[in-house]
Amino acid sequence: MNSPTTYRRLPGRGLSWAGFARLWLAEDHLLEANSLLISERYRRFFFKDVTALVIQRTKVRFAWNIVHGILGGGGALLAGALWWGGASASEDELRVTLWVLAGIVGAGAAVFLILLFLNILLGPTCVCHLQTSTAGWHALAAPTRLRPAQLLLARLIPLIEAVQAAGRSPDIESTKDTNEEQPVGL
Amino acid sequence: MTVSAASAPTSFACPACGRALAPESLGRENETACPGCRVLLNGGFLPAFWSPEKASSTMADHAFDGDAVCFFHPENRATLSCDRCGRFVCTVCDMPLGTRHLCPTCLSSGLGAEKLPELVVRRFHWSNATFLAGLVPLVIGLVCWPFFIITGPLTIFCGLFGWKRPGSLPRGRRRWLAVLGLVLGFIQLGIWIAALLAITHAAAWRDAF
Repeated sequence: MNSPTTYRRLPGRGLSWAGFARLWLAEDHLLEANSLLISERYRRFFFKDVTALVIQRTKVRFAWNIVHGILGGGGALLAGALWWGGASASEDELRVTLWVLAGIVGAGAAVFLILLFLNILLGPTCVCHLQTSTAGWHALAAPTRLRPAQLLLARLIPLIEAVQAAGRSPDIESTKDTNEEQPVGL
Repeated sequence: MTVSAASAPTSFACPACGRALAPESLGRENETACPGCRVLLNGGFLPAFWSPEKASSTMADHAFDGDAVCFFHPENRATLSCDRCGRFVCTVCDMPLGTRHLCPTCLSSGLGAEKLPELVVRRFHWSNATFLAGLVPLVIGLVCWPFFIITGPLTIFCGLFGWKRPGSLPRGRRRWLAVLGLVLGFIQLGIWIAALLAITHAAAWRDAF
C-alpha cells in the first residue's frame, strides 16, 4: 500500500515559459510534471474523475513558421547582400569586414532556417484538454503536437474506460478480509 | 457511500470558446470545427461523462446494533475502511484520494511530511541544483574564479544536503547528476586554491625560474 507509485512516460512534451512539461502514467492517474531547472510542479488527474479528452488544433506552428521564415529568409538575403558587397569592394579591409559580417548573419539565418525546418517536420500544434467531473476543462501543458497527442488519446481512453468500468466496490464487506493483511500505520 | 446515476448530459462546452456543443459531434478520429470559434476539435468522452455520479452523501447513516461503526463517530455506521490504517470510517470521514479512501488522520499525517505521494505538488531537485551550482561558475570561468570559494562549498553543501532528499516524483533521484555536481564543486575549490597559490607565490616562482 505504501510502495512508491511507478510512472510510465507518455508520448509528447511541451515547452513554455513555465518550464518543460511531460505526462506520466500511473496506475490510477495521469501526472503532469512541469519542470523548471531545479523545481518540478505536479498536477494529477485521477482516471475516475476524467469525463472527456479533447485535442484542439492551434495555429502556433503557423505563427512560428512566419517568425522563423522572416528571420531566416531575411537573414539569408542580408548575408547574400553583404557577401556580394564584399566581393565588389575595392579595399581589402572593407572586403574582409563585409565577409565576416556575412558569415555571422548567415550563421544566424541558418539557425532560424533549421528551426523552421524542424517546426515543419514536427507537425501541427495542438492543446490537449481534459475534462473532470468536478472542475471542468484543464489545458494540459503537454503534448503540444498533434501526432503525440493522438497517440496519447489512443492510449489513454481505453485505460480510463477500463478503470471507470471496473470502479471500486464501496461495500465494507469486500474490504474486511483484505484489511487484515494490510500493514497498519505509515 | 450512496451513489445514484444522474441523467446523461446533452451538451458539452467547447474548451476554446465555451459554446455548448452536442457530444455526438465530437469524433475520436475525425476533427470537427466548433461553430463558435472555428477551431478544430477531436477527442472522446468517457463513461463518467455519460453516467455522472452524484457526490457522495455527507449525511452518515446512523448505526444500529450489530453494525460496524465509524472509528471517529461511534454513532455512525461504517461504510468503508481506510486503505492505509484499516480503520472503519463513515461517509463523513471518508477522504477519497484517487482510487484510495483514507481516514482524516492518515490524510493529515501525509500532508506535511510528503508521506502520501498523491499529495505532493512540488519538488525541489537537489541533484539539478548541485549540478548547476557546480557547472555555471565554471562556465563563467575567469570572471568568476574569486567566488569559487563561495560557490564550491555551496555546491558541495547542496550535493550532501540533498543526497537523501526525494527527487523527481516520476523520475526518482538522479544521483549521478549530484555526483557530477560534487566533482565540479571540488574542481572549483581546487582552482581557487591553485589560483591563490599562484598569486601568493608568483614572485618567488618568477625569481626561481
